[in-house]
Amino acid sequence: MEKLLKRVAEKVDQAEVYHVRKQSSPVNFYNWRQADVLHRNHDEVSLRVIKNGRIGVVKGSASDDLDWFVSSALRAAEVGPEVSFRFPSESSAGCGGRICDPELIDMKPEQMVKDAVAIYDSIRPQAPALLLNLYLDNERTDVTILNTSGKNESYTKTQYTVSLLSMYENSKEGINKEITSCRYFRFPDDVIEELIAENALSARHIRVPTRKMPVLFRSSSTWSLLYRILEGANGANKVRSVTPLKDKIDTPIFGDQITLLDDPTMDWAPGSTPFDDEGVPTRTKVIVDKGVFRNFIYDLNFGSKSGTGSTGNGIKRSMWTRGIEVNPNPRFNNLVMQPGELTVSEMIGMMDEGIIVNDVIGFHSGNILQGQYSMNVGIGFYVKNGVIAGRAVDTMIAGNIYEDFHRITGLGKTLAVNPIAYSPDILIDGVSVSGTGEL
Amino acid sequence: MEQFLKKAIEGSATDYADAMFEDTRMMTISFNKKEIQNVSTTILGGGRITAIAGGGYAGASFTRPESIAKAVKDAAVSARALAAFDSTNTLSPAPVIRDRVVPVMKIDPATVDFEEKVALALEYLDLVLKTPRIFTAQGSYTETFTRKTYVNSEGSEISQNITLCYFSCRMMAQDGDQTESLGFTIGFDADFSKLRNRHREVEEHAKLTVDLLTAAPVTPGVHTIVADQDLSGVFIHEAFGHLSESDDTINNPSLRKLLVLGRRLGSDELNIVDQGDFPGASGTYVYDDEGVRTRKTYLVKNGRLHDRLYSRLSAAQLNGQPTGNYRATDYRFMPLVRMSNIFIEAQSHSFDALCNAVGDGYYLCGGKGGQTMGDLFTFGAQHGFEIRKGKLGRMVKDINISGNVFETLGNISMIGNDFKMNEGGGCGKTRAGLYDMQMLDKSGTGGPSIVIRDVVIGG
Repeated sequence: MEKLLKRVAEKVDQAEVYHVRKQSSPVNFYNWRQADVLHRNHDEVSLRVIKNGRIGVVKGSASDDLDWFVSSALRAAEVGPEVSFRFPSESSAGCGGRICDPELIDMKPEQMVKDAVAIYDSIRPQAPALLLNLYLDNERTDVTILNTSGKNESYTKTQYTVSLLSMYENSKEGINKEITSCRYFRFPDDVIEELIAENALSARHIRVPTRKMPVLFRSSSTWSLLYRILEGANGANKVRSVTPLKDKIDTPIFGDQITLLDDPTMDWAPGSTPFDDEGVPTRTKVIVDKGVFRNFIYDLNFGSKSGTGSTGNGIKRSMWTRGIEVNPNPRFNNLVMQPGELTVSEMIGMMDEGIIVNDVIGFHSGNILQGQYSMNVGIGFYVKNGVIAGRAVDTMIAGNIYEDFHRITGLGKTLAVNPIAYSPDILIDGVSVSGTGEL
Repeated sequence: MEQFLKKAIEGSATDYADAMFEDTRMMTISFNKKEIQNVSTTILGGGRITAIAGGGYAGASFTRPESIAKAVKDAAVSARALAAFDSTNTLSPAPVIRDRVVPVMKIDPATVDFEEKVALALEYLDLVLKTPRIFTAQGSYTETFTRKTYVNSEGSEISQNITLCYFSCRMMAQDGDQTESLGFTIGFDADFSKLRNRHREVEEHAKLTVDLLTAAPVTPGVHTIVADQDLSGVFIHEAFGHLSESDDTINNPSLRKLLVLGRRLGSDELNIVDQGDFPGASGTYVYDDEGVRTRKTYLVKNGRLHDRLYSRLSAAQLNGQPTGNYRATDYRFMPLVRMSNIFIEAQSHSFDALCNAVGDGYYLCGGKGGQTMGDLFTFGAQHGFEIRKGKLGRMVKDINISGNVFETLGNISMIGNDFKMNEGGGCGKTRAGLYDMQMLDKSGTGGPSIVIRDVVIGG
């Protein structure tokens, strides 16, 4: 990578080389019987150059064809947008949390097969007929960033992921429980038990009435709501003047139970990192403090345009990409919602009539920037008189986080990680629910 | 490249092995309003080995050609090791293919100047931005050129050049605090000429975005609807298509029972087709990732379940014929059984006849993407119109539709004659949760307008 930076440096004003090496072996098990594995051994690189104030980007799989990288980046910079930032030089020493587990580095793929068989073995006596797919992955990521400001830093991150998907009768999908961490773990028994219990509770289908009622968003589903905050607090949307939060710094936007931090220092959190994908050292920021909006997040480009500078949130991937596929965008490193004090069963007990949402489908529906959502309850339950009555079918929920987050009546006491955040379960009063049951 | 791949899998100590290497160069010119925001070039070069040994199945993917020997070894060793857990993998027979595929197009985007691509995008963005109340738009022109080489240990050698170009735009309209946003894609084919002379449609998309500002929210409840071609395509993809992907059926006894061939799913008029060789459609290709040629597959014929989508692997398990639907997003993933272009075949009814049959209900347009969870589906509609006494009325918005797949297929009561394939597309599939998700761009939908009774509409 030094070679690439050296070759391009003399031709441009500034340059950055970002290199990611990913090694992993995701193993899939299909309903007790079938299995496959895919070994991954991927080298990816992005080259960014700035010449005459314009930026050009090339990215993708690493290739020995350095000339192609250099010429493509130069051509892109000729017509690229004007930018006014400098690639960072400051060290990230002391930033980030623990993200590399030696046990995972040394772990053989056979261990994942053992772990999968152990999960099956623990379920078999309790629920021999349960349809269950498993996905396990041990991924090692080595990141290096070099730039013409003198930056040359690296880190190694490990990540172990175990996902269980039990399938309903007549269906390809059902209860999904997934855990990911930078540290090795054994899939917890209580989560397995919850999966079995929820699967059994799903046998009874309930047609839910159409009216406003409390909805308990399990932490596995809160990402669909928090995604709206990611868009709202995204500095790019502030610069483009399209976020409803654009004039709301230091203004209450949610109820005072809600505190959101972007915490890249949390140990073993997959989003923790010493520096972002542009080499900017990361730090913890308060996004929402007891309901009051405090900070937008910025990358180098939008940080310079807004005048505040980067907040260490320049990320070169999106929710569904694996490699370096998108240009830097402001995203949270590791969003954490502060937990409350309630257990799941306490919150269920608080509902006279309500819905529990494990998974949503259609999170992208509704005007996301404005905070609206309108989603199907993929996996969810109907609660009557504080007891789960059965699976809520044909049920949709709709609302707006900037209104609904004023009506939070309970927060769970434990945090679980989902694709956007570490989140507790969230109980919200008066959510618009529509179904096919009696009116 | 064929020789390089053949040599790599020779003597791989497996019962079967294949090797694929692809080189994709992608360029995206993105615009914020009428300014170039970025010119981004992406190279995705890498390969994948898959192997069967002792009935175990495994793969290995890599970026550097010199890693291929290790990948072959990893796949072979893991296939053998996994056979202890699962030794059921065999392949359904398929012809040995030797072929070279080049894209069919009037104008190769590689021959069009960069300046002309920018100028065309700016013409469209100008049309959008001069529409009153449109206050911002982000557009992009994307082109990809893929050279993909495939060999297997049975002797197939296939090289495919795959070209794709398209223009996408997302527009926002504003009136006071109210904003509305809509997106569209044109092209999504090898042929650059499909991007030209589309001004009228671009203007219509912009007008629609503005009209949404004053549209009324849809009334939630259970309604009879006419779904337009776009929405009927998304519906059939989400609601039915995913269930026809046989790799998920193999180990699911209840689904196998439910999806017994011959089962009645809808009226005699209902024919559902997956067709990978549909000329010029967004999900069109020639060979899948097992080297099987794509074809036209009737999934539902005269209202009855007729066939499924198969890989060679899944066909062997379910006594089917490979349909050429085993596809991975790229070398970084294992292939899965995926739809190509899926649609309901047209019938004879005019659009007016459909509206008359509805009486009072909604005409819903434009799929906004959707998802299924087995027997449940949901997706958004971009906009719609009330239907009162068979006539279109005021515009509505904020529309989500959900329901049970089988009930809803049975509720398709009329099928129109206005068949059209959609431009653009894309599909996500996972077999074990979000971390396993694989997004595939080349997936097409289309169809005629259809009437569906008793649809759950959420606001």
